[in-house]
Amino acid sequence: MRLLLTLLFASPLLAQSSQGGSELPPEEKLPFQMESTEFPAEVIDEVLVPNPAELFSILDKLGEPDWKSCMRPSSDLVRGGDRTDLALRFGTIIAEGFIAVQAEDPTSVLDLGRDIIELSRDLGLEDAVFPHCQAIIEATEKRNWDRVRQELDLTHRTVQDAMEQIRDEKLAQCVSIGGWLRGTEALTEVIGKNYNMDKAEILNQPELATYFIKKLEAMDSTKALDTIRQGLVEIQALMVQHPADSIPADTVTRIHSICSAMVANITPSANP
Amino acid sequence: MKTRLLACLSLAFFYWPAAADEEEIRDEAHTLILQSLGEYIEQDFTIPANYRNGEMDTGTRRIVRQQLFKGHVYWLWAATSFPGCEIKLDVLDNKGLDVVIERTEEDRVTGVRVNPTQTGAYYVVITITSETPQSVDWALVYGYR
Repeated sequence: MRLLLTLLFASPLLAQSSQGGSELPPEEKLPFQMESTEFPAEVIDEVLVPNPAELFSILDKLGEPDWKSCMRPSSDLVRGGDRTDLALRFGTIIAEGFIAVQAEDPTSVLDLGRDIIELSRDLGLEDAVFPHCQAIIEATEKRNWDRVRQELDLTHRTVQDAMEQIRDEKLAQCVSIGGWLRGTEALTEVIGKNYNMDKAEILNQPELATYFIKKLEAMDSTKALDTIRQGLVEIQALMVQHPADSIPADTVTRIHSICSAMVANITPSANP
Repeated sequence: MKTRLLACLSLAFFYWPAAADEEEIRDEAHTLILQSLGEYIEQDFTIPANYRNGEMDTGTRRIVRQQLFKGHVYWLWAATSFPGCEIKLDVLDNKGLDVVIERTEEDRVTGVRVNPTQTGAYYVVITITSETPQSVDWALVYGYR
């Protein structure tokens, strides 16, 4: 009875919410029954997407991954495409930057810094991004890798904020999706090379995959976005197929190949 | 270490001038949190730039989904800039069980520590109460090590 009263009381609040809260009651958004209290609850739909450094640092704790081997060979940045293509590509370049920092490869970080500036120019966000790129260059020259990670993280956040300020939240999501795909591609490569279940557990992220799928479903359909959505649906299914602590090696391999195909579409090589 | 501390504190000022009026009010809670994190930065916690914020009515709860990874120690902090409010933070696993193992409280910032035993989605519950009902800002920041 108390729960019913709570839900009845909560309904108008849910309807009035303008903070990205769910239209569904918590009971339909959570995998468990919320404890009934006098405080009505609202589930926020947005999910904080972890940056690649948060995941990579776990693998560092579990061994000594060869990050250098999972860096993409450097090639000229592919220019052009619509803003969705650019946003997806921007996300992958930021993730590539995190990989290059894990590999402590200053040449690649500096090259990627230049790519970030060029892409931000194409997106009309050069002024916002340029100070971060300068900081990345300075920190790289001092081999201050923690600082480079922070600046890459801030670059991502700055671009997302700038896109949201011009009411382009969908584009901001594309940056996150591109980054997550490239980050997951690198993770699965490292895990696959020296597999164990502890490492594979990092891939238990079906909620994030579901979140991205929902965001893509809300966007206008394009061939590129539809392909990514289909890939994410497959990844999500693979992530829930096994318990979190026993994701098998072949699942890791399969997720890797799906991510690789999508990342290759987002960042085709300029020098094939 | 000092560089990291300065960089983190500068985040507060980085976001401040560019924000619109409404955003400024919301970001006050975020700023409060960042200003309280010096001790954690010195303990090598990484504070991602990504955070959540918004507005809510006192006497209600907000539930934020958060992906946590086994192997990291997490601190999560929530704040409201409105004086006279009590803010409470809980973190539940996918069975609804409370996984908080330590709590701190300082002014209008509350923090909880979680050592996830499993990688996956967790549910951060923010409850704000006050003597008189009102709409207040909130922010949620996390750090890991």
